Amino acid sequence: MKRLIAAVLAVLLFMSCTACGSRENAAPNSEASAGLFAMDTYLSLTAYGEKAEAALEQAQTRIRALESLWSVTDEHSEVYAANHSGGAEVTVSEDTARLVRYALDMARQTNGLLEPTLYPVLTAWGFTTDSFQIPEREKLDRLLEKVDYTKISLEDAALTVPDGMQLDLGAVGKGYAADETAAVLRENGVESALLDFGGNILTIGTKPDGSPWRVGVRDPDSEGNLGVLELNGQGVSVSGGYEKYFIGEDGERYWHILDPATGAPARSGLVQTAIVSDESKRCDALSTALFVMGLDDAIRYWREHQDFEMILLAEDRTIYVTEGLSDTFSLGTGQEGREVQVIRYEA
Amino acid sequence: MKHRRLLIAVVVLLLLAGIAGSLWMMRPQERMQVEIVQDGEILYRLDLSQEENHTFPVEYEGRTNLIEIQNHQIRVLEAECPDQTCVHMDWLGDNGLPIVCLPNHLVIQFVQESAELDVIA
Repeated sequence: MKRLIAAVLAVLLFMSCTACGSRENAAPNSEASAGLFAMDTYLSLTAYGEKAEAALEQAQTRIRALESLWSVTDEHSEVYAANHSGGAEVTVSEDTARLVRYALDMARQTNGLLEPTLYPVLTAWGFTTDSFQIPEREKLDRLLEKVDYTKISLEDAALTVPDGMQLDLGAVGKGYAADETAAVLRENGVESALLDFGGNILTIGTKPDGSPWRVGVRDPDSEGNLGVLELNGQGVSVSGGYEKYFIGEDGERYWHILDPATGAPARSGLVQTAIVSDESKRCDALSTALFVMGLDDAIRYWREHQDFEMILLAEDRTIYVTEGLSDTFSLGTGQEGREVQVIRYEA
Repeated sequence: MKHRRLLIAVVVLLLLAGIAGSLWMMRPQERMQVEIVQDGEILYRLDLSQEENHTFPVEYEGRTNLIEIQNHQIRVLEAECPDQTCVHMDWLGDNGLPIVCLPNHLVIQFVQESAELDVIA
């Protein structure tokens, strides 16, 4: 009996001592991270594994290369060249061609709610320069005449932006770059990574310990989070009227997500949209387009496509979550009692 | 016999010390470790719980962000940049979002992001 007690005590003793060290051992020493300012935002990349360090180096080179192609304001970018060609055809790189094709595809799929030629209207509101103002109705109408993605032509690598129009790939560029970054990391043997492109999140695999990435979805009304999403290889993008806005002299809040039909901030009844999908560019494009769409059309769009998931926050502060996220999204602390509706595949 | 009791007593004491040590190691980390990063390089790593109230400048290409620490909180008090977003973000908060000044390539963040979350979307 005594021997048994002694043995049990010895085992417990051993376990209690080793428990101290486990915390440090759990942190893998092969974590590599990088932070950089690119694409008008702050990018934070974390990758795990032996080759993570070298893979991140390559990824950053790729990001810099992509950034230089798409800037609307950089005179050396391909987008700038196309926007200032006076309507002449411009030959662009494979990356730019793919991104333009994607942006035009998404514009078509969303009936122009994602509108890649809206840049002059954004500028009129001052959202591109941070000198905010409410433009005159006539000015908006005049600018909207030059907004129409169907007039952009892309034949293989030949891009034509009609004179006076401006192509802006900002709504999908960050997502595309995140997808490309993930591709570079994967090619270099990285199986676990967390990419934060200024709040556009994309994950590779799970955390090194095999558990899912825990991503907070912010609450626009508080310092906290609406809830927590568990991701395993997917991405999430969030759009909301609180990200960039100004208060007009009339006391109204004017935000940067515009309705291409009116040229004014989209007031669809949604306060925030979060899109989850395997592709960051899809998250990026849809979080904007569905914000403009509003609740009912967004639900219809989701049922028609079913290749992404979403969390919508309505003006009455009800949270709508699609069925596919019911196991991976949980309410944040302090959100108890919040109205949550699950959107089903079948109406 | 006495010898054995002593031995058991020592073992029990070690065991209790081990458990206490484990609990201490596993206590929730206070969100007080902050780092100030410029262009990916850590300029300062501060323990807010130890910092006296003071302000200090951080420069980037001739432009200055004035950083204030008060009552164990940190914020950008003044910034020589057009948008002033970092000033408006006020104190570094509990939601885990870093204070970012894009024009001056400055980030202020908790060293250990929220213990529970990996990132905020």
